[in-house]
Amino acid sequence: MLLAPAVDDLRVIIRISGTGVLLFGLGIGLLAIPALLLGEANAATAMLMGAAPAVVTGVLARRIRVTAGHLTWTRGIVIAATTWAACALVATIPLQLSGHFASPLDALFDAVSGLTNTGNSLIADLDHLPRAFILLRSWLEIAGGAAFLLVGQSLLAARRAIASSLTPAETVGEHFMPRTRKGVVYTARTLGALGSVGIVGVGVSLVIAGVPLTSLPVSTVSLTVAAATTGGFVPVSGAVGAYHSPVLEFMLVTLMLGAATSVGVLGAAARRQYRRIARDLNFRSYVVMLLVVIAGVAFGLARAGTFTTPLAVARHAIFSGTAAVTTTGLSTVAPQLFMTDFGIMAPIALVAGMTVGGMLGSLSGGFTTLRGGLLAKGVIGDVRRILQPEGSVQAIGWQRLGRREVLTDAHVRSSASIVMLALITILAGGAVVLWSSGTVTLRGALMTSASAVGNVGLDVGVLASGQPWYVTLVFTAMMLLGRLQWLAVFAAVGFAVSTVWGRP
Amino acid sequence: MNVTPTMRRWLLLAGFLGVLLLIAAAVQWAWVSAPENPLDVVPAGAEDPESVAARTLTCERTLPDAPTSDVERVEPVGRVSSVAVNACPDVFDGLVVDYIGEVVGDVLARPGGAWVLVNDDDYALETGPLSGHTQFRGGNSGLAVWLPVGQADLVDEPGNATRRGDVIRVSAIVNRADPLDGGGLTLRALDTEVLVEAQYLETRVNRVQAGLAILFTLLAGAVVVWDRRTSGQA
Repeated sequence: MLLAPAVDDLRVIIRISGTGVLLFGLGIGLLAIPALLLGEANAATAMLMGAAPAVVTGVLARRIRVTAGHLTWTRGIVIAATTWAACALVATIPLQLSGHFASPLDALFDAVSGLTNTGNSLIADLDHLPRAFILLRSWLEIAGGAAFLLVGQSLLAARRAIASSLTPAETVGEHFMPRTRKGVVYTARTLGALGSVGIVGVGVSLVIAGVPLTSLPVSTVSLTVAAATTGGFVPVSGAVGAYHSPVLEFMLVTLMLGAATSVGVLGAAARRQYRRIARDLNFRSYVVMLLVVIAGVAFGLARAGTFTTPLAVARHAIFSGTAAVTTTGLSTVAPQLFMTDFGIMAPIALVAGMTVGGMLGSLSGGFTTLRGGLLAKGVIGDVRRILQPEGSVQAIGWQRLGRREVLTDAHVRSSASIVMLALITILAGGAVVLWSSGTVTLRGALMTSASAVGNVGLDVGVLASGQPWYVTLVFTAMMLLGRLQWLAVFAAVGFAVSTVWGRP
Repeated sequence: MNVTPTMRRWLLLAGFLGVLLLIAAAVQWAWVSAPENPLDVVPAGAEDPESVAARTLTCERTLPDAPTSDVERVEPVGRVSSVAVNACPDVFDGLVVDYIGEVVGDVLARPGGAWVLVNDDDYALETGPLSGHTQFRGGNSGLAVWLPVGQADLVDEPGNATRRGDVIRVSAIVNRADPLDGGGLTLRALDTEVLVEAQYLETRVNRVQAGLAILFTLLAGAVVVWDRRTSGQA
């Protein structure tokens, strides 16, 4: 029998989600000011039309009275999913009114893409988009990134983070509000530091690149946010390569690496706890993954004969590899060139990097390097067990920022479940793309699918305005699944179903 | 009438969906009310690029042999499109081609010339910026072009939301992996001609959208004021 959630549960969820929507809507409303300053009156009215429903929803939701109590993990997951979905609907309004989306579904796709820090886009004629909407895309990335760090620091941490919702046996407490406050501080510090470094560095790089002062502010904000949140929305269709600036690319690589490093490791680095960091499995796996992917891309490019000089190979391998592992999705070349001029090995290495992603507890997507590291440790442990004499017992340990842990079957199982779900979703997404189009190659389909599930957004020219509606719908869902983690979405859907059809 | 908890939930859901539908209808109304202002087709730009482009559209580079960039062996092949060059850069590598498109983004001035992004998609050569119409033709497509000193000065108004930028015809060498650009795919212009100067869109305010925005904002403001007053009383 399906039981409806308690009324108090619903009240808490609506109130907190409403607060999130209110803040998000206010952010959109404030964008009307730069829109007016830039002389874009239609953009300003579009922002107001988006902001107003969010403000009304938020104010009404905040009037709901709730009894004092702790916020449980289940409520938190539903709040996260509800807030994300509501904010995506709100953002769809100004995006659709920009006139650059063929349908509201395309606008919703971009809204979800921004809020999940993916960076895939179905926008038409980006190069003639009013600048206020470029700022709106950046706001989506900031809001999505901040929300994700909050969820990461609270909900996932409340379940020991390793496998998010998959390890109920490891629950150390149902309460996450105290962790949320810590998370807010960490989030503000991380985004603030990355943003400050980025704004100055990227701004100076763009000046050196020759960008005129009139377009400098918007381009600086857009590129900084794209890299520092792993969002990946760029202000021009020609990707980062359109700026022809090695200084800018160096700055963006630095920001991407920072964004995909866990908040805990960044904090430890600030306290100069380098030994702890060096032993941290999450960090070690991240470094190994980066090096393997960059080496794989370099080898693939050299083998394909794409570039004639070692410098060119290094430039493209480092940038593309970093963009894939950090799940930023920025690129130095036009999308089609990944398919037509990068050979076979380089795209395969990029798919591997996108699937794994950056560190757990960072802004990046993918199934994360910690889970990859735990799986690798599990495999090594099994091999050792076979080689050891019968009856001997050997514990395998791993470290997370100075905390020693013993590898258990639960760790490996929960990590394997997430990895398996990610791979199945990638294959399913690839199948949908192949079914919808007779011209897309298997490599292109898998790369596109991995890019969406890993919240990467590395465009290879497969997803485009005018594609079948079901492809848009499936990939929108895939981006959400990748960001919220699979079982968290299932929990939220189950909650919604029991709310409507469950017995009181 | 006795309203059960289940009925109340359904009524709430129906009310919520009703409000969503109203908002969606208002957005759709504002969207279809956007003033249309398409630009004229660029005469030379709208012509189909010659057959060399069509011939190479489906090719794919996977060979391990490194390309050469021997300038002496280049031969003119006529007009090409960015789609064709991106589809098979190694076929065009080192060839002299004609390329027509709209300058968009920023003119990045450097010692000895300037980098520009030149689009040859439908928004560039046929319909004009999407801000002025609703004829969706997919995404943008273009190539990076290096204009040496003298030619770079010809281009001063790149395209943006308010205008179609200068439409230029360049005769240029295709560099599949330009060593002077860290291996980027570029065109290095030998000769540049401005076909059409930048054209500005007539800026018109969407009155329906403006009216709805004012209405929405007033409604939101009223709710905020009501909330402030009543919560203060509570």
